This record gives sequence, structure tokens and C-alpha cells, in this order.
Amino acid sequence: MTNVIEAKGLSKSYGAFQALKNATFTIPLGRIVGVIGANGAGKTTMLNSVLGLSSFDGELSVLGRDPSKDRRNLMEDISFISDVATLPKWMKVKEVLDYVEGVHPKFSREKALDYLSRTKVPLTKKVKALSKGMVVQLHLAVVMSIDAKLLVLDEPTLGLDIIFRKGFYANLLEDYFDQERTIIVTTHQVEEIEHILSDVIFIEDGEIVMDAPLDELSSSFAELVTDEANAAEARALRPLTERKSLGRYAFVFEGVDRGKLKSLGEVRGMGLADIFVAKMTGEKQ
Amino acid sequence: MSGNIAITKARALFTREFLEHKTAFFTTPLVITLFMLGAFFLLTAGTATGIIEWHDDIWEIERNGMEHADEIARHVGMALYALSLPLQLVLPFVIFFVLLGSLYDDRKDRSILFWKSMPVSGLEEIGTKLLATIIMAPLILFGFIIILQIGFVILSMIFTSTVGLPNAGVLWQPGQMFSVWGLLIASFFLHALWALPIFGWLMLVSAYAPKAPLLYAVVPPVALFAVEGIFFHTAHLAEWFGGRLSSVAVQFNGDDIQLGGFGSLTQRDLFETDFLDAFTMTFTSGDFWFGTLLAAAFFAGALYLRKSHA
Repeated sequence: MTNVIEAKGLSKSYGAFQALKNATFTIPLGRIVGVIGANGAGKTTMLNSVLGLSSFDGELSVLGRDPSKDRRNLMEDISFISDVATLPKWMKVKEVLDYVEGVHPKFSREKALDYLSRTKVPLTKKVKALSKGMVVQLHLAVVMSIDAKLLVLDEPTLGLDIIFRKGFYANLLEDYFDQERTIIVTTHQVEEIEHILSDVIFIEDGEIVMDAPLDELSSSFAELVTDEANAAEARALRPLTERKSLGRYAFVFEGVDRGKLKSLGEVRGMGLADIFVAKMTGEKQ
Repeated sequence: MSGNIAITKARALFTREFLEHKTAFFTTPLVITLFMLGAFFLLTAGTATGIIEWHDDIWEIERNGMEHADEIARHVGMALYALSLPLQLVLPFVIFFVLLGSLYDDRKDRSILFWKSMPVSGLEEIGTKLLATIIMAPLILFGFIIILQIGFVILSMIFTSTVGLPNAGVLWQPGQMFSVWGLLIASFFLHALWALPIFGWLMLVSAYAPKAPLLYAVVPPVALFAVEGIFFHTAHLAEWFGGRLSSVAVQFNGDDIQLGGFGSLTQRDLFETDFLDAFTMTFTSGDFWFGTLLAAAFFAGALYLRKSHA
């Protein structure tokens, strides 16, 4: 399997502050990777390095190129939406398409017009006259019409309502993603992207604390709900977290055999958001 | 990159600059042109006396006979040149503010993230911004000057025929028009060559300034001039800077002649300036090449800063 991104010892400092510490990871082709971390954890720093938007220390190869030296050529094979509302406000929708068509050899105007025809985005209006949702739809229509190998979405749906967000990811999955493409996405609304992800990277304080396929994660994390009698035995299995409510105990385990847990009480699978929280809080305990 | 793709891309990049600065590049000269033609039309239709005075010299010469044809032509040429001054005066302001915002505005509104998501290199981007501002914008402006001058001549001819003044055809002086156009273009680009370090400085500031680029552009040079004045009691820096702006002609002609552009122009300059000589002297001037090297350093700095922005 070919790797789209190979990073080794990737670091970035802003003065004394180390935004990214020695991150090592690979992202293969045909995956949808969620990068999850708290605000300021280093997600955007990591993605900016990948996109050639900032300098970095360490080794980084994206589609076989060094993004710090070759952003121009790299951008023929990478699309990204960093942050919402970065489309130039003074441009008309049609002019945005004209521009991208002019500078991007892998952009299909027909595709973009097709996507836009399914929305209410007017071609003759200026971007500043569009609603926030429409701006995102336009931007998404542009990036989905570029035949790129890697699509990076950094908080692409920030500030949009739930209906837009759902539609956004549905479009992405149905109309864009295939085995020849890789998507990296960061978001605060972890639950909404959980079902589309194939892999997950957790970042905390500039360090990668977890990098695994989602199904592996789902099978290795489990929550045990039990009573006072079994609590001591559960603690002996070194849970990540423990909480008590209504007289019952809930423990989160990582990598503990489920058969063993089942003998102690009720075992539940966990959502990505809960796994993330358990991993982050558990590390600190 | 094949030729066709390169042209398509260049067209897209220049179109982007034109659209972004349509008000400065197009609407402003359009409004000035329409205003001047409109005002002139109202003047001719309303009070005829003003126009008679305006052309008094011409009619005077006209009455003295056709052997003064050259002088008539000169007067028409001067009138055409004078007519272009309001439009010319706009140009330095357009260039100053567009360059100052060129690498700043999109950082402020975050659209830099969109521009950088496209396969356009920093050099292509900065090069387009510079050329659009110092070549495309002036050429558009010259287009309006041409429209204004031809409109003015036609209105004048209609007017003189209507009020019964003799020989309106004398106002139609294509040779004069061509020489005024040549003069305007040559003097602009001569000035632009000398002003390259200023253009470079503005783009460097535009790429660097975290806010208020105007202050960053103006304060450091003024502070340097002041420091030099206070500690050395000299003004070499300020003089050198002034030389980039307007004293090109002084260096060539040895007296106080200004070459078109921003300064006032006497009749003699208009017809006697040797631009071939002026350009030759520019390209053989060490001072010019020093300024150009400085400009290159500023542009390289802007390019470097642009690369690290996200």
C-alpha cells in the first residue's frame, strides 16, 4: 500500500512554545483519517506542515514531495479547506470558478456546476452576499471538483447548523471519496464524522498519543459497568478511568480481554468521543 | 507546462487582480473621464466664452495664417497633455495603495488560505500582483486618457463648427495625439523603473506588516531620514528617495526640467525630451542599478515572508 504522507520526527516551535513534538506517522492511500485533539493541541500546525503552509523540523514527505519546498506542484494533487470562509469575499461565485479553472489543471468546471446546481448558491452573487452555509457549499463544490489525491479539511463545518454538517459529510462520502483518494479531517464534532473515518490520530500537547484504525480502536476500548462487589477486581485490571454514579461503577479499559470484563459486569462498546475523552483524561490520572 | 496552459493561467491570475482592484484600476479613471467629458460638454453647450478663451491662442495663430501650423499643433498637443493630468495624478495613489495591500489584505481576511490551496507559486503570485499594478493598471489608465482626448477633440470640433469659428479641422492633430501618448507612456515607465525600490519596499511591508501597513511603510524611512538629519546633518537618504520619485529629469537634462508624470511640464519639455537618451542613461546609471538590486532584495524578502504565511 502506498503512503500519501510519511512524517518522521515532525516538530514545530513558535519561540519557546513547541506546537508539535517529534510526531511520527504515516497515512496510506484510500483512508479517511480523523485528527482529533483539543484546541491548541497541534492539529492545525501538523496540517499546515503537510500543506506547505509553514516550515517545520524533521522529515516529511507528502505524495513523495517536500511540502516546504514544492507547495506549488503539490497543490495540483492536494485540495484543502482550512477554516471556514476563506473564499475571497469580493469575488463572484462564477469568478471563483473561472479562477480555479484557469490555474488548476485538474479542476472540472462541469462537476462544480453540477454540485452547485443541487444547492441554492447563485452564480452571479458575490461571496460576501452568500450565507455561511452557501460559502461552505461553494468551497466544497470547488474542492470536490478537483481530481486530487489528498483532501485536507480543517474544521470545514465550523459554525454551520446540523443539517448542513450532515449533508456535507454525506456528499463527501458519496460523491468524492474512493480508494484512490485520502481524506484528512479535523473537527470538534467528533460524533458526526465517526461513521466515515477509517483511521484516527489523537493529538495532545503537540504529541501524537494514538494512531490507529478506527475498528481496532473500537475493539480495544470498552466500558465496564459493575457494582461495588466487583469494583476492586476491575481496578486490578488497570482501567483508564473510573467514575461512580447512582451506586454503580463505570470503568474504561484499553486492551483488556472482553471475556474477562464480561465476567465482572456489563460491557459496552464506546463511541469515538468517549474513547477520546477517556484516553485524554486517563493519561493524566 | 505547455504554452497554452501558461497563458490560461496568466490570464486567470491577471483577471483576479483586475477584479480585486476594479474600483482603482477601472472605475476611478472611468468616472474621472466621464466627469471631464461631461463638464466640458456642459461648458461648451452653456457658456461659449470659456471655450473661446480656452482656444484663444489657437484662434489667434489661426488668424495669422497657416505658416504657423506647427505652433497650432503644439497648442493642441499641450491642451491634450494638460487634459490627461487629472487621470495621471490618480496613478501614483492607485499604485501606492494597491501594492501596500497586495500581500496584506488577503492575510487579514484569511483568503490567503484559499489562494495557497491552488497550484500557484509565490513567485507567480507576487509577479502578477506587481505587473498588474505597474503595467496593467497604467495601460488601462492610458486607454481612458485616449478616450478622453479624442472625446475632447470631437466635442471641440463640433463646438467650433456650431458657433461658426473657421476651420474646426485644425483641432484634429493625430500626430500630436501620438506624440502625447508616446510621451505619457515613456515617461511613466521611465519613472516606474526608477521607482522599483519603492514598489519593492511597499510589497515587502505588505507581506510583513502584522497590521497598519501604511505606518510600517512610512515610519521606518522617515525615521531614517530624521536620524540622518539629526546625527549627520545631511539628507542623502531623503535626496536619494526623492530621486526615485520625481527628479529623473534633473539627472538627465542638467536643469530643472521635469519629465511629464507627476511634475509640471513646460511646452519645451513636451516636445524636446529625448526619451531614447533618457532610457539609455537610465540603463547605464550605477545609481539605477543599485536601486534595482535593492528592489530585488525587497521582492525576495516579500517572497520569503509570503511563503511562511498561513
